[in-house]
Amino acid sequence: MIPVAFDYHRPRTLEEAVDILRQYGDEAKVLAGGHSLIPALKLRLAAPKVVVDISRLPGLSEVRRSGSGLSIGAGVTHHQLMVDPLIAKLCPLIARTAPEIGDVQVRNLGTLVGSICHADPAADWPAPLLALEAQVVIVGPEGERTLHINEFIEGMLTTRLAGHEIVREVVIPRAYPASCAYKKIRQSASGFAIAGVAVQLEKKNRKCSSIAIGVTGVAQRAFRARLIEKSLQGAELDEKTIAQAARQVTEEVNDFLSDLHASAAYRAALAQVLVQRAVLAALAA
Amino acid sequence: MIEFKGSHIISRSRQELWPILQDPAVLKRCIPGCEELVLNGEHLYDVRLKVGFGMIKGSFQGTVQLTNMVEPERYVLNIKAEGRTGFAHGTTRIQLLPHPSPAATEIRFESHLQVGGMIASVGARLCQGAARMLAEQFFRELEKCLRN
Ligand SMILES: Cc1cc2nc3c(=O)[nH]c(=O)nc-3n(C[C@H](O)[C@H](O)[C@H](O)COP(=O)(O)OP(=O)(O)OC[C@H]3O[C@@H](n4cnc5c(N)ncnc54)[C@H](O)[C@@H]3O)c2cc1C
Repeated sequence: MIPVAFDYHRPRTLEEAVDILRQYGDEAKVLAGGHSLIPALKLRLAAPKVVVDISRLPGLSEVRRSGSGLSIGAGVTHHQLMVDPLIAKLCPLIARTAPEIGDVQVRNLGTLVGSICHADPAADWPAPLLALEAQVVIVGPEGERTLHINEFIEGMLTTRLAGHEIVREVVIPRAYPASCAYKKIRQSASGFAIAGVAVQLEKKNRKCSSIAIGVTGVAQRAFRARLIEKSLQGAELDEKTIAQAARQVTEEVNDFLSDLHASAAYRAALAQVLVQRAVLAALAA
Repeated sequence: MIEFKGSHIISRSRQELWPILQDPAVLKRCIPGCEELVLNGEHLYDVRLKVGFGMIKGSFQGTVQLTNMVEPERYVLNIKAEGRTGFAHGTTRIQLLPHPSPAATEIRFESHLQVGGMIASVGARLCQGAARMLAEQFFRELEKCLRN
């Protein structure tokens, strides 16, 4: 449980942090909340030469308005997202997902940005972020670039981020209404999602005018349930219609995970049930 | 025990593909993270690998051996690898099936892997996904090799 020795840097500015990463490349690792990195260091599954702590960089620990939406800085913790008034007002799906993550200790230190950079297939954030069309703002020695969350996450534990790049913030491009929900089945020891479904919808009269469904925990990476969305778009959302649409979840991806916690068939069944629950909860919200 | 299977269509006939799949230079290029691969007996190779997913990286040493060879139809790929963070032992049954389109082969594989040590105790839920991704990477590289 003792990490391989490493050099610790706590730069004062983002530029300085990028500069350290440029020097060390893949030998360096960014440290945010440390709730994924520190365990991996202690088990020696990761052994970087240099750790660059960005958790106290000025300006990164806030939620700000950005255009008609909002921006979540790289230092913003899960707990902040639970209680932030701007999040509650402009993006309630985020506020409803945050309390579902881990336990108090994890939520007090772990960050949303750290979670997507780690890209654990059982992490919660990718589901709502896919549903909200989030954008990931990346800075590196060559400047700044922005990727849609769907492009940013490549697969299990892998992203499009280069070794010398840092995610500065995640931008939710617009405000969303309260008709949203996140439902999950937790792995009982860690809290990670065995399956998790985020739904953001908009209603006109009694019909569903738009719906976005993000699913996490069940495949190599989180995904949008496009087939289900298509069947619900424009429909009147009664229980039967929702249940029928949710069945299509098995056609959305062909790589349902199977491990010691749940078989592929069980995960597919959970995903189907959670889609129904989340859509109904979003309707009632 | 991790079990997974899959198949892949490669645009070469079985006769052409058979020697390619045993060529140490090709294997070295296509096996993900392979840093060294040396012939050390009949269809037996010593290997050194550096495999990583995101922050989790490990170095492994071991052997790859091809057995039960029936040219150009099938063989068994036996892998043994060990590192500080754990070990992986496994067999993959590989079948080369003629594909309806001319000069193409369907490679079917079925793997049984045993993973132990630290990796298995903390990363068990990720091992199957990792194994699948490594297999995909192998075939992607193989296609690249064949194009050149
Ligand atoms: C007991 C326990 C239970 C948990 N339960 C859950 C759960 O229920 N649901 C869930 O979703 N997660 C869960 N987690 C994970 C938790 O949410 C982590 O906090 C999160 O995955 C990583 O965020 P972090 O800020 O701690 O990142 P760190 O651990 O500091 O970093 C994680 C990785 O991202 C990289 N990184 C971090 N920030 C940046 C950046 N700005 N730019 C570039 N790279 C960066 C690091 O280099 C590292 O590779 C749990 C963790 C623990 C220990």
